[in-house]
Amino acid sequence: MFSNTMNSFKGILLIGLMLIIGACAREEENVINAAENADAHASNIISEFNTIKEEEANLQNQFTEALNNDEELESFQNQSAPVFQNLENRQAALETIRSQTNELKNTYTNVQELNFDALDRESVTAMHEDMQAAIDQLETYINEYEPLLQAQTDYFTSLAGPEADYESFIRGIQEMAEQDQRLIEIEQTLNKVLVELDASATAALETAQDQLDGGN
Amino acid sequence: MNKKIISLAASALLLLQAGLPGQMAAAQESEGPLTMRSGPILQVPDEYPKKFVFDDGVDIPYPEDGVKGIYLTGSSAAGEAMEGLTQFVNETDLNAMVIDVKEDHGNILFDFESDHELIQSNTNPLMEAEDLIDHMEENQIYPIARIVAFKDTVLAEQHPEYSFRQADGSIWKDSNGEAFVSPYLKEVWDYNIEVAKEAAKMGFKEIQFDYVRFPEGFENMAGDLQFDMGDYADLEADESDYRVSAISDFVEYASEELKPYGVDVAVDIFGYTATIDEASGIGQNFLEISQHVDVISSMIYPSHWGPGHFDLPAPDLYPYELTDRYIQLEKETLNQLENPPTSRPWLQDFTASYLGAGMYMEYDAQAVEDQVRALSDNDIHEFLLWDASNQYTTGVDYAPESNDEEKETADSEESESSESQENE
Repeated sequence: MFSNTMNSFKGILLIGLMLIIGACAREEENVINAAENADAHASNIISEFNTIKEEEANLQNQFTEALNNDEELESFQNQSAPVFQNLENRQAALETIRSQTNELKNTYTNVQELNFDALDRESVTAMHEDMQAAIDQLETYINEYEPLLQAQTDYFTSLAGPEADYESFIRGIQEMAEQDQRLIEIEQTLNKVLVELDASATAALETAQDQLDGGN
Repeated sequence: MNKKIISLAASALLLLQAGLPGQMAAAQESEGPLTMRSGPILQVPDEYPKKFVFDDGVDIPYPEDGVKGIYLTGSSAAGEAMEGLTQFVNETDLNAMVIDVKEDHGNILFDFESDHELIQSNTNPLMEAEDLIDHMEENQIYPIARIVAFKDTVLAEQHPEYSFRQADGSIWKDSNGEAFVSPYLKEVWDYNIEVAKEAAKMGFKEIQFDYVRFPEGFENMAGDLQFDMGDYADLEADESDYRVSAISDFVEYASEELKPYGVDVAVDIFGYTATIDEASGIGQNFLEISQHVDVISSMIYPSHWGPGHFDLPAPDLYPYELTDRYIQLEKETLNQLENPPTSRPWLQDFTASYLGAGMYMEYDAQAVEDQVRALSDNDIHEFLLWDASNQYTTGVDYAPESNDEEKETADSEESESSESQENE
């Protein structure tokens, strides 16, 4: 009977151990999933951000050509000048950044719900914090950039208006430069936090992988 | 199961390495994966609809035959001499006046009613700018505002931190007792450009910057002077490497800032800079300055060239030859530019007796005309005449290109008429 009991106990113990190991493995899987998701979202965000930058780089030529070819500024009045498509393209890219940021927030929440005690706390915490930093900076960027797009739309449209003159023409460009200047610091910080997120997500993934290997 | 996890993890790692680093490669100079744009998002274009050019309401078109002008001090423009000088211009083929707006000492000579604090404090008006411009419009004389940029004793004494200072802190001054301000400083740039904008708004059609340089011999003094290099201080090379940049950058910046005002921008420059790569001591590079201006006004007074230049033992004695040889060299230099500016040299209408016997001559109508003709023979039909006392030589043919043609036509008609009379 004892041996039967012992065998039963061993069986229970074995099942329990398997459950624990299984649970740990699931947490590590979750870390890996989170790291993969974070990378995917970050990659999409980077791609859309760089699209915005490409469009910005095209703006000068589009603006200059439209002015050269349209003395009466009709294309500004009816918003057919290429600068308006440029604005739309940037708005679309910004919307994608916004949606990817929301996805990153979901991933952040998922990480928050992990059992940190079953994991390498340091690496997971670092990834978690860097996600927060990236999300904060992305939201700052979006909130700063969106009104700029509207301001630029208003400026280009106003050029065709009767009140537009040399002062408003020049002032608008100067204001755009000033607003743009304020954005530079935000973009530089965004660049930095994305680098940090990349590093911490990689570290968390590698640690999780090592833990899985160690479990084998 | 574990093998699957490892496989997924490995894929994730590869993705991270492929994704973000790939993005980082596109970042160029960025320190992360994002592409950072350098330069402003939008700049004022070179060309734009007339609607956006300031309209000063003054109707003085650019002279059809090219600008042929004389220099006037503020005192001349505001005083009794103006009537005579106006008549002089009206009765000849001259058509323009270069008038001091910010003069050699730094005083601003017209009250522009500006809100700018420095302009207000440094204005010592000789007359109302509006009255002057009205007079110019009435006589259809093309008005050019002369703005002395970096020689500015008034500003230097007001703001010693803008100037060059000696070891004891006193302001450095040249042999004429005049101080310079640092061409490295954006505050100084903006001040001069603000004066230029006011002149443009008042109705001057062109802004001519003079003394766009460091003091002469600066390369020998720089080490002993204290001065602010502004944004150029952060750069790593030696100070002397940035003088040319500072000067050229100022000219470029000024031209950009003045674009919306519809004025031409000119710079006065030492003639010898067209004959060398660059004058790094004073920061003047002929080509770099030329590419940012509408007009380049080289000071080519024969008296200012040393013996032997252009193979002339005493250049002042050879006004035609000196001018002819110089302008050919200048044309060759400017032809290196895709869009060269108009060449409008400063010519000598004064006698340089200080050169001493045998090295100078009296600059009479012939001497002045020789310079004009030398330009004309090289297809340059614009020029400015300098005499510090504004007393210009009469009897000069200022438009030999058209007057010779007219004379030839007249001679030919007279000859035909004589022939037909003889035949009768």
